Amino acid sequence: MSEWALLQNYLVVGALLFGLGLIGLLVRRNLIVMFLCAEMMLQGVSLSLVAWGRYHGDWGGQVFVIFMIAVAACEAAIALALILMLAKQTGSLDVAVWQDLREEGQAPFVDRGLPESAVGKQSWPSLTPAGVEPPADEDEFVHRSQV
Amino acid sequence: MSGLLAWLSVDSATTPGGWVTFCGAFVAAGLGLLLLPNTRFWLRATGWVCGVVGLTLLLTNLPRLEQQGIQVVFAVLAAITVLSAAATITSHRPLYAALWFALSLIGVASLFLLQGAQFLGVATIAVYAGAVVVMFLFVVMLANPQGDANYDKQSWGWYVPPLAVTTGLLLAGLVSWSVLLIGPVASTAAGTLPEETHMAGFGAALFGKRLISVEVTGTLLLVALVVAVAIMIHGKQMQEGSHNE
Repeated sequence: MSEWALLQNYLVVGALLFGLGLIGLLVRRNLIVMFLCAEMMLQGVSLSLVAWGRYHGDWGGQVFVIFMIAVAACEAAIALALILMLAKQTGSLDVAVWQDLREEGQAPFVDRGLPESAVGKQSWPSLTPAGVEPPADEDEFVHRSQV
Repeated sequence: MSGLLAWLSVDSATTPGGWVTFCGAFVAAGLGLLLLPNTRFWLRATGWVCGVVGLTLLLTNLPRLEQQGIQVVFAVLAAITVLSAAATITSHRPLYAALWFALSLIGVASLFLLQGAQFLGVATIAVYAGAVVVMFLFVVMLANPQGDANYDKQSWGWYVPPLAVTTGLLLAGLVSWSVLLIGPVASTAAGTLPEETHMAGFGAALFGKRLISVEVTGTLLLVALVVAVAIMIHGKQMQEGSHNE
């Protein structure tokens, strides 16, 4: 009876970890944090597997978790290389930058309602405008190299 | 209020569904408050208090084990694991999210040890907390040096966090409910995995019947390594090409 209670406890905690990872994957927009949440879902599943393996007196659950760890390590290596490349191309880890890949006919996602504290914290360097703006010199643009 | 109390006292005593729903409501309220984009202290504190109350109710109402000590140790480890997982998905800075995830992994490894899965506990700490999380931290440093970004604070609009919390907790709650509702599944060999000769038995199971799977997994690791290097080289070439134009 106690073994059954132990299995129930572990399955509840595993389900909770899986649910938390799912919530994070759906809610967060940072590529790295989304990936962490996917790993968290894997952790929930491995807790359940180990618990079932113990309950049935079988090594299969633990062996399966070993394979899961190996595949998760492969996945992490490839995904982090991809994330690094994507971040270098756009300078941002935001998934919404890549929304051009969305399905046809899907409305684009537009950011609205920035939190007030975040807006207030930003301070940009500014110069006081002085005098009149000089007329643009065509020659100067020709001689200037790419800046 | 009295109706709620009556429902609690009657329903929770008879069926596990009642208190799973009740705890889920607490956890959902807490997570919903924590996932809001603003960082006001009292809102986050209220969210944490709701989450902790819900989790405590859940853990104290789980089926009792025979040994009181193991029950207490399990409750503490499970609380550490789940709370740091919640901190991972709610913290606004990716660096802190990775550190909380490392703590959650240590909790999972301790739960493995409590189950008698010694090798898995050590492997989880060595591979996950030692290698994968450090790799995450490197990428966070390389890709996002300013550390604080607007897209970390807000989600996909105001309606996505409540929907996601409902979906995730409904899934977890239904799984828990069904697990707690059904009677014991027939098992003739519960808890017979040896703890003293754990490594010998585990190694025999891993390298005996499943030797080919182990070899295939090793090949997969090699392929992943080559692919990661190829992605980096290709990306570098593309960047140099765009600079030369």
